[in-house]
Amino acid sequence: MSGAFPGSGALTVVRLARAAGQRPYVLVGLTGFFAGLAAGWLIATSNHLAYSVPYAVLDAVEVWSSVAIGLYYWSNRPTSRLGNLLVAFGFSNAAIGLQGSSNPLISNLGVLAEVPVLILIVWLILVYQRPRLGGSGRWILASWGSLVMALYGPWLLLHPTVMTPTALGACNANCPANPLLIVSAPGTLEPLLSRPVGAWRIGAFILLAVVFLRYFPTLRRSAAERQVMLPVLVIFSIWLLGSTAYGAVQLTDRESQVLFWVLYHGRAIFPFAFLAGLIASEMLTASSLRTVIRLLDSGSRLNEEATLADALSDPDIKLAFWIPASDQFVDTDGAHVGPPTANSGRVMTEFRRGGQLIGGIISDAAISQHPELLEAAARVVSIAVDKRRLEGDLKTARENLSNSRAESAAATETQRRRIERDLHDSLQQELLAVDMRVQLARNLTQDVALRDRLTGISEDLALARQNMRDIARGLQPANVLAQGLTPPLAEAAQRAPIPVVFRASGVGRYPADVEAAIYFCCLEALQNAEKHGGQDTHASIDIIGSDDALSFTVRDGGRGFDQTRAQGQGLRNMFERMNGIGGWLTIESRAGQGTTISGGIPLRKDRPRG
Amino acid sequence: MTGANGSAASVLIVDDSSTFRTAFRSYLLDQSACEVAEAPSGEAAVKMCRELSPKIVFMDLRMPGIGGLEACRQIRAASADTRLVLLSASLRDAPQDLTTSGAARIMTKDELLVPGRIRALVQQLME
Repeated sequence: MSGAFPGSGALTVVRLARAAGQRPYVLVGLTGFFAGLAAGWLIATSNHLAYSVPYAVLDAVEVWSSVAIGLYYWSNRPTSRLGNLLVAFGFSNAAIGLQGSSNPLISNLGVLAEVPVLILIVWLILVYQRPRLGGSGRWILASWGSLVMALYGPWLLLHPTVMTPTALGACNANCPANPLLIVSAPGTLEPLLSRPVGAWRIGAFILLAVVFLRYFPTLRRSAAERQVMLPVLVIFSIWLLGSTAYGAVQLTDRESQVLFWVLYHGRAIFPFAFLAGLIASEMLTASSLRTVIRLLDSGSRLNEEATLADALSDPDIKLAFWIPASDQFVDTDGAHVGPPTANSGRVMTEFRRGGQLIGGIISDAAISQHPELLEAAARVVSIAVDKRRLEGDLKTARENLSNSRAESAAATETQRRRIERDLHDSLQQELLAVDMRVQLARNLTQDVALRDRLTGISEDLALARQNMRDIARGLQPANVLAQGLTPPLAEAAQRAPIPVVFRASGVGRYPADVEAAIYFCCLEALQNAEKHGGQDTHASIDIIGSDDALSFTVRDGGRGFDQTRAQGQGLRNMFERMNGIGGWLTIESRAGQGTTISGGIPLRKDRPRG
Repeated sequence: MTGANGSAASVLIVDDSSTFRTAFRSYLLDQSACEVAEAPSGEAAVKMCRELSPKIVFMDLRMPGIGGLEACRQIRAASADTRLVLLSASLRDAPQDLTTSGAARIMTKDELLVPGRIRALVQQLME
């Protein structure tokens, strides 16, 4: 159903919130119990049934087991019709107890109750593990019903006494007369009706063939189907095989009687076969759920499709995500997913959350009969849907952050270039002009003391210009732009007033903002070491490039500092610079134990290298 | 334009900073005997070179407008005799295609203050 795939009958809609149907468990249970009790009492107290006590016990057990197992199905398979049929099977068996009545008409009704019992046996098999009876199922059921009616109809109308064609249901001399008798023809019908071998064998053989044709190929589909179908199919097949063989093989009367007893009354075991199937199904469900939980808890990156395939023992399972914008399902790769073809043995189950279609699975048809498995699958699909959405959001957020950082870095870079240009174009010119005038003044005087003073002023001006150039270089490291990181840092290490060891490994060229940030941070860290390291301080600069990251470490053996109090502008600048390029920075320092400043940036493969 | 004695200046200083031009002019006159003119931009320098045909042009590299490099190219295209000296705040700013500018040399402005350097340079370029 659902409009997603109009016309496809293979779709089922399952909501995450399990539909809880209230059923009259207690009423039906109590009714079944007393019905079984009444049937047993009627048979046991009968004065015309030859084996009244064992027959009563067998029938009561059949009633109670069928109703109880039917209720169990109600509880565990609320969408399955099997529970209803088992309950009906139980009450039909209860009606068989009417055979114990001394009233001929009521006793006949008890015999007639064999008809729905036999029909229900086949009906149960046909709907077991099937969402619907289907056209062929209805045909089989109708044929079987006709066969059973053909077996019982003439008996009811043409035989002077009506008794069930079972060993335990045999009459003694007090057998009630048939009130529906039209023509008494025992001589003609007796051979056929007392031992209805021919009709029964033919019908049973046909059904056996149909069951094999209908069900056994599906056993190859999945472990789930096999595990759940086997108990029922094996018991049913043995029963049918025996029934078919009965009469086809020459047996002594005694052997024939024993086999007939076993086969006919063996139907009492059917409800337990369905119970075994349900238990197998529950075990499969528990195992599957354990697998799902284990995989969900494993902490590893979850592959939802593989998880479900593993958990549900269906290697071909497919996840489908509903894309409202394009009004279609897509698979994990984003390709369109259509409904499974008819007779493929696979069905699509849709999942909704809050009434909204979110996705589904295409799985073995057997899985669609397990509400717990579908619920687990729905949870996994729900996780997958959320994960896809979160991954999409994360990707967008990353792109936004990256763009924001790039814009911020570009704006900062523009600002730096402007400041540097202003320094060069204004202050540098001014200082140079002043220096020229000072030198001119010095040339004009013969006063040695004044000349010395003017020379000192000129030297101060030269130093001021040098400092200004250094500042400008820090803002816009043109040498780094031209040469990369290694030569300028090596030069800075050499120029430093303290001994500095410089080591570089695998360092290539990187985007300008990355090189500028790392260069600046190394210089800042080195200046910290120079300023605050104390006497005899030494330092090292290590810069390492790899395929994945570019990192640096500046260590000094100086006095160190208390990190909790360190709030210098230099440190803040370093953090801002590294943060601006998406990198990291760590500072380790303790008073008296030197300082280690390290940082780096992960290099994405798609990030252009300079 | 400021030409000494109203005749063609032998040296033209081109810089957008009037402070620098004035100081350098005084400094140059102190260091060597020459006639000095000033231009505040590359465009003005090209025009003045056509009018005055200076022997030496001290051209600031970074200026608004066409800039020192392009001004040098245009002056060189107009006159092969003018000796061009590009002045830069830093040698790091030196462009890669300096050879196409026709400049005789490039030097930092700091270098102008090295004692004796400017006198020797003017003397060399005047020859």
